Amino acid sequence: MRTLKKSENDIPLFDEEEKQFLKQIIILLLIVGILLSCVSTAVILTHRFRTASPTPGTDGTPWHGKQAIERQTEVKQIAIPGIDKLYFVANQTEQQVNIYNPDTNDCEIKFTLSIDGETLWQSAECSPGYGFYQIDLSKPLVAGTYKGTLLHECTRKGKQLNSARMNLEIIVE
Amino acid sequence: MKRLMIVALTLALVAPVSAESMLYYHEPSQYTVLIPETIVTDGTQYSFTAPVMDLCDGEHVEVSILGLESSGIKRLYTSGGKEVMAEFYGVDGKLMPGQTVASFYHGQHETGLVYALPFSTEGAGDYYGTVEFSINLVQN
Repeated sequence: MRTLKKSENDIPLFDEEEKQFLKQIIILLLIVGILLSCVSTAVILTHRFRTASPTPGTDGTPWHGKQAIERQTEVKQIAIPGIDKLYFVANQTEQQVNIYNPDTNDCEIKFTLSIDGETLWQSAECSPGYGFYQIDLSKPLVAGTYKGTLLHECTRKGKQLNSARMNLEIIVE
Repeated sequence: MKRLMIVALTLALVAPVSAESMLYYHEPSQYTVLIPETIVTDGTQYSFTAPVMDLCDGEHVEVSILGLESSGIKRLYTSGGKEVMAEFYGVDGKLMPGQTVASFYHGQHETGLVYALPFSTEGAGDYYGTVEFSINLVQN
């Protein structure tokens, strides 16, 4: 039988100081392992306890104030056809236009045509699918180019809705 | 002389004659913009759409919001006179009067948005108010 004999030339793998250090590391790792297993066990037990028997005060999340709840409500829109120029005949009140309330709308529109804040023409409430081919101005205009506005006041059953205003050029020839 | 006249007339009829005429046709821009008929001041976002946006070169349509106070606030009221102040916001944050909320270019059918949040309130109730949108065809 072979026996290992320590020779005088053998050098120890670790000296005493290193052995002490290694021992400390191993002990530390063991403590960390034990702590982790304790924490995970506690988490599992808490979760089981919550789901199995809810107790007032333990369910829910910390309250930070009301949240915004999205609702699937239909957003109604109003179609406003663009008009950027109107061509009028000078020195007469009767004029031809294309001003209308699209039939896709679900509201009445009252139109007001103005120049420098002075109302030249105002309609009554115009239903969807209706419009004006001919209007009668409050006064005739002399030839020239004017900057005007066309206001669309939208209502449904007397209730006022959002409105739209357009700047337009009125060319009187 | 008679023979000369016949030759000249024949040449005039046979010789190719050309003239240039410039043709011009202008089809004006056509567009329709959809605006929200009401704005609920609970943060609901309203985008702007345009079923028709056929614009000439170098033109676009701008939608801005009018009727806001100088601080960008709009007051809404109950039938009993209670008041709520609402702040309006667009893509780039809080809106001021006349600020653009949507810019449509040729062929573009959806852009921009607007939403409002209550700023202060006098309590429960149905508060009403309306907003005026400005829709204009402008040069780029």
